[in-house]
Amino acid sequence: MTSAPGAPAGWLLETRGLTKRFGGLVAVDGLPLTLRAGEIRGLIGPNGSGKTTTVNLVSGLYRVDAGEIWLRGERIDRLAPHRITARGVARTFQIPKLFGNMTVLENALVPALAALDRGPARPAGDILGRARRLLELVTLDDKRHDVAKELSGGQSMLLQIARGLMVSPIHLFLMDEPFAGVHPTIKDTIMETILRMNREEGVTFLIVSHEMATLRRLCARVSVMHEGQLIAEGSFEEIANHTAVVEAYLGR
Amino acid sequence: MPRLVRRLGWCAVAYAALAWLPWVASEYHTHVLVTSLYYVVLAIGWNLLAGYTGQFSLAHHTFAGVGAYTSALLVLYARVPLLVGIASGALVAATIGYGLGTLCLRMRAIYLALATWAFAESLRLLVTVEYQITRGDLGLAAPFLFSTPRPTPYYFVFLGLALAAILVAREIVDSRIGAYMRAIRDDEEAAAVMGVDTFKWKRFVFAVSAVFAAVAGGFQGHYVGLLSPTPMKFNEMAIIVVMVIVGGLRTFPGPIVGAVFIEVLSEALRAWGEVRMVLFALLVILIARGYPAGLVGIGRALGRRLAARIPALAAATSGRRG
Repeated sequence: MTSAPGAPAGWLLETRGLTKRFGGLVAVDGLPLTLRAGEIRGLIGPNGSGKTTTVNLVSGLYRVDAGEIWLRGERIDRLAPHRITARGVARTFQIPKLFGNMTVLENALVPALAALDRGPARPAGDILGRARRLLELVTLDDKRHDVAKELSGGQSMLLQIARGLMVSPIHLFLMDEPFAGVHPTIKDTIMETILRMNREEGVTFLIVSHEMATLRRLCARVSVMHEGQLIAEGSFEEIANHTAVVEAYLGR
Repeated sequence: MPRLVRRLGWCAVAYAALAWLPWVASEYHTHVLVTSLYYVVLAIGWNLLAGYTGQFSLAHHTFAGVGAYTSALLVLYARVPLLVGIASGALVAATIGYGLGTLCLRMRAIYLALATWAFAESLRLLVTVEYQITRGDLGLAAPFLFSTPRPTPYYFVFLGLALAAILVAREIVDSRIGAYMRAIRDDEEAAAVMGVDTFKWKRFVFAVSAVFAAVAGGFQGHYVGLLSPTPMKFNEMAIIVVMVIVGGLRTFPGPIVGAVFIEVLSEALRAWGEVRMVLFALLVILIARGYPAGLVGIGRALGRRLAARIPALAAATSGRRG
């Protein structure tokens, strides 16, 4: 059993020749991205290099033009977003997308309630307990009865993360610029949450970010995109000395 | 006591509390009440779709027409019992509603409004043009439910219908489906990536709201006794929108308060004729600008202010909260 891509024994996520075009622009161009179960991977690259498009493809919001996406041995690139979520993929958006008129707690409960629609019944107490624990982890438990649209930008990011962790089961968490424009304290909370969920529940993270210093503390490996292609992959030291990466960031 | 049982109890109490009205009201006032209750059902159904799910459909009144015509035609041509006719109308409306929902799955805001409006107009024209079957503008004589045009017996039916609509809507809103609906309204993309089957639930709400309208329309047809394509005109939709917005879009009691308020106001100002619509339009603009939660929002704000003035009341409400 070595053939199944993204099988539990090997890769959690594998994209093969992943391609997305917008008119004449090739936003993602034959991307081969592989994530091992349990790792925290950084995804970096200059603006417009296709990082967010990649996240949108994996989470199913965009339709793949060419190539394949495999998750835990199953091909997912033809599935609707909610079906991909059902297989254990959560995500956040760079500009937080919350359910603005619902309370903080209700926001966190939506993924669990959605899971009830397709899976076995879970005791309400369990669901509520997990939501409260996660809100506590991201320091929002005191605000659980507040309406979500009243949260600050950083708090909205925290709520997106807690909400994403309510997806059950949760295998892969895609984060699009979780540190952009948030207060250093909140940045610490986010890092702590990532590390803890990775350690305790084995959640795999793919983190799109420009914050090298922060990524360095979280990720052993980073993947570098440029003009839709994967130009380098490896430890920070490896990519820092990679000529293509230096060129991509500094211009030729 | 389970919540549903308790709520059924409340409905029974409400029914008993309101059932005496025809004995004190004149026949004309009873008729106004029946019409108010008819609009309560329509407005609640549309609030589920537009207020809770964010699907601003402009075809809700059409489903009342679908219910009325389906039932009347089946009763007249196929000689089915009247209640079977109304049930069939609901079924046909559910199917068409599901289809319309499917058509609108990928449409947002103004495009959805335009598409549903076009659909509503098409169906109205169809009813007008196919006069050999529907008798078009001449009007189709629908048999009376109680072999009388007097409103009193119908009041008891419509009171039950309105309470049933309130109960069903409340149960939906409080269930996990209600959470899906609000999530879809607030951010459809986020709802999808959090695992909500947005297509399934949008279609579901389209179908359910169509059933609300069709059942109300079916009974209304067998009360009024004469069907014409006129209530399928946009005016009728505008009235439903006005009722829900004035009452309070997105609030649960909004459509109930709005439907009764606007219908009663409309009757009180009958002498003004079409000028009433101008007045209602101004009212909508005023409410949308200043009080987005409508009369219900104003009422709640007043209640809070009053509670703050009276310490005992404030203690009682805060105690309930904790």
